[in-house]
Amino acid sequence: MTAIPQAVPEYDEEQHAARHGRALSALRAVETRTGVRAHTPARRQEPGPGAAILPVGPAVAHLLPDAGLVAGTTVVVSGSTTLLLALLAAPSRAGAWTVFTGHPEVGLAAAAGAGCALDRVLCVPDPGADAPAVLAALLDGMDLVVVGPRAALLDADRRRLTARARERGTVLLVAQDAAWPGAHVVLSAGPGTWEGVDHGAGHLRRRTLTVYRTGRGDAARPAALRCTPVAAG
Amino acid sequence: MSGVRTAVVWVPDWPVVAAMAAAGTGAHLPAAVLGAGQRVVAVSAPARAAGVRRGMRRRTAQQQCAGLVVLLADDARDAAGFEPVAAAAETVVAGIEVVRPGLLLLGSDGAARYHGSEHELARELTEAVARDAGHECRAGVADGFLAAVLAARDETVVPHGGSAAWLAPRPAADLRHARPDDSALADLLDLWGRLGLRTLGDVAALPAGSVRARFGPLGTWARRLALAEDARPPARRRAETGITATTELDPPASRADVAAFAARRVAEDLHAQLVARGMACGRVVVTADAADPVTGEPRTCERVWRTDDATGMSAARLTDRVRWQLTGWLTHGTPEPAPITRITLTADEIAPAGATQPALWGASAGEGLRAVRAAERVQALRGAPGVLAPRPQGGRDPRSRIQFVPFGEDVPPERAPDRPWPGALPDPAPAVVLTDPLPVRVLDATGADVVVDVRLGMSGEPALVRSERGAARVTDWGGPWPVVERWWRPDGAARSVYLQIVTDDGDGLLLAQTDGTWRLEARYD
Repeated sequence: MTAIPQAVPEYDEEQHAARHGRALSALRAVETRTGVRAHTPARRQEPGPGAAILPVGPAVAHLLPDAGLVAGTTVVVSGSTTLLLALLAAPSRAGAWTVFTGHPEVGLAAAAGAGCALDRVLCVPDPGADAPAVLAALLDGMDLVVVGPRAALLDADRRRLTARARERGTVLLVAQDAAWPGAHVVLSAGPGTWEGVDHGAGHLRRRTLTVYRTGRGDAARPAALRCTPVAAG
Repeated sequence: MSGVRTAVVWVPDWPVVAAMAAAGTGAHLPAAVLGAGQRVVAVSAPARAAGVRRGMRRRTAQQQCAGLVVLLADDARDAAGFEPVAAAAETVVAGIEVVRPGLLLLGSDGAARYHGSEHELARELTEAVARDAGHECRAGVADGFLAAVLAARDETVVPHGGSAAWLAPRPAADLRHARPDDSALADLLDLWGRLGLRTLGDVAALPAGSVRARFGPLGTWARRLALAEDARPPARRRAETGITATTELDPPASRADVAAFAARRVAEDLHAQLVARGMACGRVVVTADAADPVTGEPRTCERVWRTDDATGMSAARLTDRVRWQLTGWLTHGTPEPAPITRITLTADEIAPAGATQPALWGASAGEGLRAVRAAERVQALRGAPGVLAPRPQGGRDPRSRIQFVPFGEDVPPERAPDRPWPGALPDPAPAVVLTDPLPVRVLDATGADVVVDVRLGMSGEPALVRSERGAARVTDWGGPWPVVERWWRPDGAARSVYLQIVTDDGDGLLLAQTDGTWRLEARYD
């Protein structure tokens, strides 16, 4: 009798752990919702290695240290709304609820074109004097909260909102030119190019941007990165 | 076993009758309704006499009958138009079941005793429908559903217990009248025809077990119908009068806080009525009657709000909805705010409460519920129009491609987004759409204004874009594209020429020219 060497399927420890983690978190979510388990916000202290990551599209993934938006962090995106929409598209399509607060000029046709699911997008075009209260209420329920230029905030409000986002596990995206204290990642779009128009022969197709990244933690080392947030066929 | 005594009211060719009534076509004209694939789905009697048949192509039908009036199929119109017929039949008997638009089913035992005889009942039904709804109909009474449908087509009353014998000599193909447009049944009848089962009697004579084994549930159902046995007795439609709550305001409320107090009373009243009946509603219609402060002319505002189907709506949330609506009308009503004299709430799409079971996984499992609650809290702070839900709609320029509706309000879409919209601006859409377009000047290399004429010729290559906020040099440009919309309407005509500009700092601009002046519409940043 001869022993036939069999191809033993390689046991992928890492993949197994990731799947186990996903299954556990899904079960926990259902238990919390159905009331079997009490809601325990105490787990969320500092968004660290354990926090959920909302993956972003491949065109912009290299701009972020974790290749995605980490739940509970504050990300400043200035200089380009196209870049902001490209960051939002993949999480929105994956089921995240998005709200644009104080950003009345955002082109939602472009958001839909970038891949956002408009049935999970809301707009609060003018939060007025209630901006801090409106944003606090939205941070409780939404997954991605965009703060636009029309949201009037003080620095104290900004610190409070960052803390609240961390506590609730919501991603706070800031599209204001003013500095935001305590932001985890700051992406500021520099000069870029548009390709496709050819003295009347074509139309805008391909956007290339240089993005300067600063921030805290993994993003602390400044970097200048190139990306192509829009590349139409 | 024999089926229950069943009466059927049948309006022949209902889709075409409803379509002609809606279009105002005279009943003497030959008409046909076209369904999917340009095939005729219903024919009026004059057209049938001219040789038009169901299933014909449009061109063949018009060949048979040159003066044929062609109408398009519309299920909603058929159903809505049939409601008066159902209401007319309800004046004769208490409970009816609408099988499909054009066909009514009712249990005839008690009704026939009340009216004297089954012949008398059939006569009363046809008279009531002709008098109240204005449509010719036929009525028949028999045992079981199929026999009653066929009896209505023949306008007869089949005596008690005689239905199976009455059905036996009829062709098996008559089964299709029980379920028209069912292709599985049509296939089965075709197969039976080829197997030699020509009459309903042949079908009824088959052993039940063999039919079940070879032809499955559909075969069993067809055999039972052929035996004049009923799958189920007619369901009694309960005449829901609609659940409403009304309150009169005297003196009329012109301040938001007074209206809010009334809103709470009327919302709690409606909620209590729904709870007392064990019902939940899918939509709430808020109606306010107002009187013009100067002329005293009455005015009515109405708005439909969709409730959460998963959770129903508590009295407090209903109050909030009504309060925001009334505040909206009192602060920015059109043409001007008027004091409200009466508030009416109507519960719509009523269904037994608890009939919708939320799923364990997925979107209806409450994952969106947190977001909905947050949006409602913001609406409580900023009013209903403070939170907008964007919706794609058809359009050519970036501004008209999105429709904004207050979150939670049930507004029909204005323009279908899935149509081609020829001449629409090319994708990608601009990421920034200015709320107020900015007037700009486009200059060529010599400093003269660039103008696009009617034949899309440009007076020069754009070199500089100047606005009150500054100037930018043009490195490249795309277009111009003309967008001419609604030129057939005296009021809504819009003619613009669009131009994409790339400036020296690498940003894209979307400019539009109307009547010789340029404005900045949007930015690709």
